[in-house]
Amino acid sequence: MRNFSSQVLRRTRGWVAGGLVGVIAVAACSRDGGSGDVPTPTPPPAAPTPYALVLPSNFPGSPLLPADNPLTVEGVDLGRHLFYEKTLSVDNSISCASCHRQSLAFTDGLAHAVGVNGARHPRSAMSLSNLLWDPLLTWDGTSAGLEVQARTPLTNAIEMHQTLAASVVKLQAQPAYVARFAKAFGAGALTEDNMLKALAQFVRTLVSGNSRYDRYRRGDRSVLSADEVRGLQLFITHPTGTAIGRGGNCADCHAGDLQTNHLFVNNGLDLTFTDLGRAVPTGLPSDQGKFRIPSLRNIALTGPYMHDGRFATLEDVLAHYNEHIQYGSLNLDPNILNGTNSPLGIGQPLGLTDTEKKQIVLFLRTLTDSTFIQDPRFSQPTD
Amino acid sequence: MNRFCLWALLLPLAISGCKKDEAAGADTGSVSLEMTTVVGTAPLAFDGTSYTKSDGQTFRVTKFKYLLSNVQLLRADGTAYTAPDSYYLVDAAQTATQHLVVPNVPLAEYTGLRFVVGVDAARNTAGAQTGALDPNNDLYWDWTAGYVFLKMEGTSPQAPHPAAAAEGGLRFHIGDNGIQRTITFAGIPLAVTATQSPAVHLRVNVLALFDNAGAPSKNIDFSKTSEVMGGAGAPAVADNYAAGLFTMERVAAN
Repeated sequence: MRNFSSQVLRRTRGWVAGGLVGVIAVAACSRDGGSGDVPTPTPPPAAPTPYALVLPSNFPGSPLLPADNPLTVEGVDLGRHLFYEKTLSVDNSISCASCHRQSLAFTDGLAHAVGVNGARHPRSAMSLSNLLWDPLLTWDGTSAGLEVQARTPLTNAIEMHQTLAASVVKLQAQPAYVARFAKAFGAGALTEDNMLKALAQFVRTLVSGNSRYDRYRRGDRSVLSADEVRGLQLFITHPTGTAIGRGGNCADCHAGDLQTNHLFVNNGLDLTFTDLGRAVPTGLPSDQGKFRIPSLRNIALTGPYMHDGRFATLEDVLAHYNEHIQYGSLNLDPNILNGTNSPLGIGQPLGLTDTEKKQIVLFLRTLTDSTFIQDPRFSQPTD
Repeated sequence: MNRFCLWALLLPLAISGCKKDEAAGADTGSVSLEMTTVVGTAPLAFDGTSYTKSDGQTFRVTKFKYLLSNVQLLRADGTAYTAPDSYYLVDAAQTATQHLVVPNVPLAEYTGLRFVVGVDAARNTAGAQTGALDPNNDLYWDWTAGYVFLKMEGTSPQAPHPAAAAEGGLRFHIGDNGIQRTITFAGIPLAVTATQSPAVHLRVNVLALFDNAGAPSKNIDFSKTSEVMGGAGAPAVADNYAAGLFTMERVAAN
């Protein structure tokens, strides 16, 4: 296991030192302006404790941890409370956790997320795990960073629909929150920015890396069955109908241990686009129909599938890639255009057998991390 | 403001000043490589821009990235300084990766530069590694446990494609031991001094993968070759990019 606590410690120590200098300066200045009485030194607020983020050894070694929002025990704890806090919605009816349920790897089991007043989101709620490697979030990459991302579901009219200012007012009325913000960020720290920072901190701790697949990757060859291993081989092979071998053509996009290369592609769902995807924020015709490649972690738990939840089952997903690609779709990914098991070569559909499709689905089910969905650190707080 | 107050405000500056002093007085400098990626004479764009090869075939680019390693700085006497553990990932879609810094270079008047496109044989077969060689950088073949040295993806109307599609895919994933290609620029003034950290500006021309003016028989015809994943088709592409991918634009003494 790779332990990032020393890195976090170093960063936090710097922050604490800066804070202490600030306290000294303020205290000295107020003494100068005071009446000349012997001052009573105010004890500085206790500094937050660095959060020891432990990453699986098979994961990439470069998580995105912004220097201006280091993980702290108190910040993560506050973020966890906020994640489950229904008063952050306009009618106090839903929290982040309403659409991101731990038991479903932080999805909601629905094709379209449901916001306040039963509003239906045009897109499906995404799973929340291992997001500290994703530079761009949501299906279309609108948000760069989890702090920015947190704002959208909180304020969006079809999600929680409450201004950050209104949320701050509601939280200020709850003494427990005033105390938690103070512990995490210092006195008077119940602000909009710190609310977003705390939520981002909590989501960064949602690391899922204890599936059977992970244990296989870390060297335990006994945890996968022969069919599951065959499914893995198919998963990582790009087929061209030649001697390279048969393949499911999955891992060019769902690459590496996180099963994503963090890019945006058109995977051939539609001939014409009702949702422009990546082109919504970029405005580029060449981004139309492209959506973020999600990690497949816990994929057996996160259906329905695709940005609009159009596929109910993993079998439906395999049938799409194997038999229903819209080859006339603008911006279709080259990896899909060129992936085939047909001896006729490129230009043919994927051409997996029914057995191969089943083996790939069997492999996908090995990505379920039962410890992640039961981890008490991520569950609804009871205090 | 009294004297005590002023001292408190200056304290952080004093601390950072101490740090700077520690670094000064070193007998090493740095050399940077600045990549500008183009297709022919146009800047490379991932916005659907269509580019034209010498044979008139057209293509668009969706991905262009490569590994660069084993950087050496050449001396006039024929010897070289080899930068230890120098592995870089360059992704044309990420500006920051096109700015490479070779640190801790002994101060000297160098006269040239050499590097490898890809990963040396020892590291190529050493399994998954970290940094630029992290297997999660989208340049790693899980099934062979080796690295993709250079990856270009895109589309072309001349490439074979399904009936309903307007264009076929282009996938050039170049790798395998034996096709590491070394790029050398000799006879360039590269003085690394206490005050000079030179920047070598290189033009990186994607067209060179497919057009080889010096060996036209190696030109790539997309109707015949649109998919290379290591293997038999890779050496010709490697020869092409060895011949023309990198052009020295200038050296800024800095």
